[in-house]
Parts: sequence; structure tokens; C-alpha cells
Amino acid sequence: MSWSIQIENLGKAYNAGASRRLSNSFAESMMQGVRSALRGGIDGWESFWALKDISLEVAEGEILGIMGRNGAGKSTLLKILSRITLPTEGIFRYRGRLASLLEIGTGFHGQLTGRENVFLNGSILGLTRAEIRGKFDEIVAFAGVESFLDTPVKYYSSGMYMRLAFAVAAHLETDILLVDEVLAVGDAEFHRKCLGRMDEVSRSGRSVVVVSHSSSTIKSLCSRAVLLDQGKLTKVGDVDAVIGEYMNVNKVGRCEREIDESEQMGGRERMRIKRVRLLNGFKERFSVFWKQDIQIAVEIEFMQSFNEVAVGCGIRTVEGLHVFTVHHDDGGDHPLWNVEAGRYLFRFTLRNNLRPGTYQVHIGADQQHLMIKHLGAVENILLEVMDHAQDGPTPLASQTGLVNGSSIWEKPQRI
Amino acid sequence: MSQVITEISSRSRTSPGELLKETWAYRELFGTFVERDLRVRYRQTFLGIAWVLLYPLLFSGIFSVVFGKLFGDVAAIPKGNDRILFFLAALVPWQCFSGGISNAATSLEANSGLLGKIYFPRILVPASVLCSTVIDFAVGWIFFNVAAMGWGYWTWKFIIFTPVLLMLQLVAALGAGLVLAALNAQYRDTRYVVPFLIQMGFFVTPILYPLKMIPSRWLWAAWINPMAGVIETYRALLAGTYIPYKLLAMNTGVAVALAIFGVCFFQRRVQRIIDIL
Repeated sequence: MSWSIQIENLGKAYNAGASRRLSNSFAESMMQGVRSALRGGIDGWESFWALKDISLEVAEGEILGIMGRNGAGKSTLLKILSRITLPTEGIFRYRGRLASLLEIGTGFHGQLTGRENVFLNGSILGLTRAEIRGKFDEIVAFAGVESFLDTPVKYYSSGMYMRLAFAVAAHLETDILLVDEVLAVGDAEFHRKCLGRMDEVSRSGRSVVVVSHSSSTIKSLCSRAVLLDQGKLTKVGDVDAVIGEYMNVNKVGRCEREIDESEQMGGRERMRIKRVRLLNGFKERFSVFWKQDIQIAVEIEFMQSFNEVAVGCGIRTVEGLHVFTVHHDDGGDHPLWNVEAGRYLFRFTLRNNLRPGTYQVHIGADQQHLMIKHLGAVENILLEVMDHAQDGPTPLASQTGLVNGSSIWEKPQRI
Repeated sequence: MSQVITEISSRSRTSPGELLKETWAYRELFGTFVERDLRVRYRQTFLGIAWVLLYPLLFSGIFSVVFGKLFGDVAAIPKGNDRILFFLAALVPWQCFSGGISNAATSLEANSGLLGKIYFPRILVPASVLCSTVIDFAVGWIFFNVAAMGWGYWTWKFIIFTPVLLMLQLVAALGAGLVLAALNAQYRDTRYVVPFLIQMGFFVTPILYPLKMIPSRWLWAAWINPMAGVIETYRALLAGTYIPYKLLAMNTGVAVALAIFGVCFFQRRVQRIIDIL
């Protein structure tokens, strides 16, 4: 099979001094020039390699997953491949037409109507007017917004807005599609639609490159994956192997975890998870006995006030298989919470019915207003369920699976 | 496999030919940008597109009354209806020119979200902003022509000269707009400098006064200012005097040089723009 993207020794350096600053005025850059001259010329500039020595091939019809923590260089790589920014060194080639979907609804304008935005967004994504006209009815039907076509999208509910935006993107028919985390937004239904559509795309012989830090997304979608860590390609190959390696990067740690900036998922301007603590961790580790309930305390800092917030916790296997997710309001004991800007401590107990093994704990907060909006989350905290109980029987080797099954049997009767 | 292979490296430079070819390939997006600008600009305004007309009209009124009355004789400004036409002939093109430049200057910043998410030739952003000001010009200019006809100053020469002069001012605005847009992407100081530059241009350009008021030792300022030629020619057509061809030729040279410089300057910086925007 022939290649569709070919990457050779790609690298990208940012000037940590000059370009990562927010305020970038002329006087400031003069000052920096002077300072770096004093420090010994151009070498004095701190350059930061966001990517280094990346060589990779994407085959035709392949869905390649790029994994890695925040700041590992995933988005930079995607930006280079999308031609938004140039590499500092190296070269890459691609065959045919390429479209990138780094965000749902790029270029949507609130003042414009649904119809106008379909054309605007479509041509920004690289569709010709004729193509959009040809697919217009299909796009509108897919989004289910027929009766609001001539309403400015700023009056749309966020659900309608997302559906319309995705509908346009879903009808892109380029040879290569680059997708970044767009799957992380929206509800489960939307997520499923996205996955289904990407599967169709690759089955028609086109290539897809997906960036995600969700191992479940990668697992359900990709045929091959690569792992980026600190700008370098640390693993290429089979999806399970890459996910395993990704999980190994952060082994079961101490029972108290400070969550640093790079681990925050979702909008850092909305909330940050500061600390996660397993209150009953064994020997100060993130481990519990078999059948021992899991008591967790989470410290979340909200950057602004939100209403109707649900805080939740999910468990996945290290391979990314979703075991369950619970939210604080599931039992009906608590309503959705309204939070102010500031820090909150949330404590909860998970009934532990997990079989021994290592799991990923996912903790996050959603806003359940109109549609589910993810405020922020932390993934990839590893939890070990030990293979013996605190006191009492150990788990039977004959029982397998993810959860402890139980059943009641009657004495057999000969019939 | 018959698909085109695109190769990108750190040394990727777009040659002038490729730039033209690529921009042409994205012409529909260019059209879409212009359309978006136009659709958005007067949404949720009560008077809508009428603002395009009101603007030069109000200014002409103010200038006719204030400036004309105070300095009318000193500055050799015509009287009566001529006076309104005298100002309109300058203000409509100037509005398009200055508005285009100041919008183009901040266009990359205003579209940074889009630029960070999707690839297209970056030059489309400032260029489309300029292009959408042409519609403003057209509305104002139709009004000007009707007024000139009504008062009996209209000549068929307007039909020939308007497209040529519009082209001249657009080429000049493109050059200036591209330089400022690229600078503003890096140094936000530009945003504060632009209104000052435009205000200065307003006084340096013969808008409030005719070209002949400029002392000969300052005439070089008009030679390098494309808008001087544009406005002077419109006024010459109104008054039926001779057309300043020499000035126009000189101005055209300056405008083309400025545009070439602008495109080169912009293209050189554009690759780094998204990293610093």
C-alpha cells in the first residue's frame, strides 16, 4: 500500500523568550534583543523544541492515532501537517487534498444565519461552492435544523450549533483528514456520530490522522497509533502496545496526586483540578484492596461561576475500555450544584466491584445546561485494585472479567 | 495514483507564480470572506447599508459648513453646490482608502482564531477586507455621480476614470495594508499608530484643500501620495480643467512599488505569523 503522508525528521522550535509571551510589543522585543545580545548573541535565545526528529508514514486508508499528554507536541504536529505553521526543520509530503478539523465550527459567525454559515464554514474547510450546494440538503438533514436555516446561529441552542457545525465537517471529502480532539466535545450521541463518520471516511480509502489523549477513542477508531512524549516519538505501532506504553508513562503513583497544568483536559480558563487524593490508599499508594470501597477527595478550582454542574468519576481499563461513569447527582440525593469562582473540595466513595488489576480513573465536571458541556477533567490517574482482600477470601482465579460477578445457583436436578 | 504531491519543509518559500496560482485556487474562499464582511458589517444596525452613504455625506456637510465658511477663500475652495461636490469627490475615495487600510491592518489579529485552525493563503484576509470596502465606495460613488449630474457637473469621463483610479487606490491600499497587517501581527503597537498615520494622511492629502494650495517645495509629498492624484483627477473632471497625467503616472509607480514591497514583506513574515499572533 502506498503512503499518503510521509514525514521526515520533522522538528519545530519555539522561541521561548520572544514568542510565548502574551504581550509582544516592539519595545519589549527590543529589550529582548539587547538582553540576548548581552548573553552572547543569538545562541542566548531560549529555544524550546516542541517537536524533534519526527519520522513517520501514514498509509492510504489508515486511521492513525497520535497519543500523548498535553504538551507532548501532538497539536504542534497536527498544526504543521495542516500547514498552519511551518516546521523549523525536516520535511513532509502528502498526496492529494488535505483538510484539517482542529475545531468544530471554525469560522462560524454568530450574526450569520445557518444557511450562510454552512457556505462560509464549508468554503473555509476547503469545499467548493458547487460541492456545498450539492450536499446542502444532506448537510441540513444530518444536522436536523431545517426550520432554523434562516435564523442567525447566535440564537441556536448549543446543541443545534454543534450539530450543524459537525454536519458540514462530516461532508468533507478530501483524501486526508486531520482531526484534533473534536471528539472530546459534545454529548455521547455526538461522539458516536463522529466515530461512525470517521470510520466511513477511512473505509472509502482515505486517510485519517486523529490526535487524542483518550485511549478509548484511539482504541475504538485507529488501526495504528504513535506515542509522543516531550516532542519525541517514543512508540510507533500496534494500538494496544502504544496505549500500554502511554499508561506506563505514568505508573500507579502515590495516593495524593498534584495535578499539573499539562494534565488538565478541557478549558483551563474554566476550571483546574488541583489535587486528587485516595483517602484510603494502601501504604500511601493509589491502591486499594480487592472489594475495598474507593474513597476519593478532589480539589477543583473554578475560574468562574457555573450553574448546574455535575461532578463525575469514571473508570476505564488501561486499554481504554469504559467500565462505568458516575455523577454526583445520579442517586437523586443531590441536585446539580451551582459553583462560584474559587476552590471546592469534593469527597465521594465508589463502591468497588472491580476485579484485581490496574484501571484509569477519570474525574471531571460537566455543565448540564441545554447540552452537556465538559468543563474540565483529568484522566490517566492509575488505580490499582490489589489481588487480595483486606481480610477474608482472596479473589478466585476462576473468575475472570472486569467486575466481580456473582450468581446464585441451585442444586442440579437430574431430568 | 494521480493525486498531486505537496511537499512542505522549513525552507518552503512560495514563488510569485505559485502565490498567484494558489490564491486563484482559493478564489471562492476569497469571495466568501468578502461576502461575510459585507453581511456582518451592517447586521443589527437600524440604517444598514445607508451608513455607507451617510458617512461621507455628513463629513462633506461638516466640512462645507465649518471649513468652507472659515477658510473657503484662503484655501480657494469653490462655493455653493460645487463645494459639496468638491468635498464628496475627495471624501468618498478617501473613506474607502483609509477604512480599507485600517481594517486590513488589524485583520490578521481579528481573524487569529481562524488562522490558527485552518490553512489558506494568509494574504486572503487583508486582501478580502480591502475588497469589501469597494462596495462602500460604490454606494458613495453612485450618489456622488447622481449629485454631479443633478448639478450639471457630470461628464462621461467619470465612467472611464473611475475604474482606473479605483484600481490605483486599491493597489496602494493593498501595499500599505499588507505591511501594517504583518507588523500588527507581531507588534500590537501598530494598532495605535495606524489611526495617527491615517489622520496625518488626511491632512497631507489634498482633501480639505486643492492641490494648488501646496507650496512647491512640499509638492514632492503629493508625488509620492497616490491619493493626491486620485482626488485631484476627480476634482479636475468636476471642474473641467486638465487632468494631471504626470502626477498620476508618478503616483501609479509609487503605488505599484508599494504593493510589490507589501506582498514581499507580508509573504516573508507570514510563515511565522501564527507562532506569534
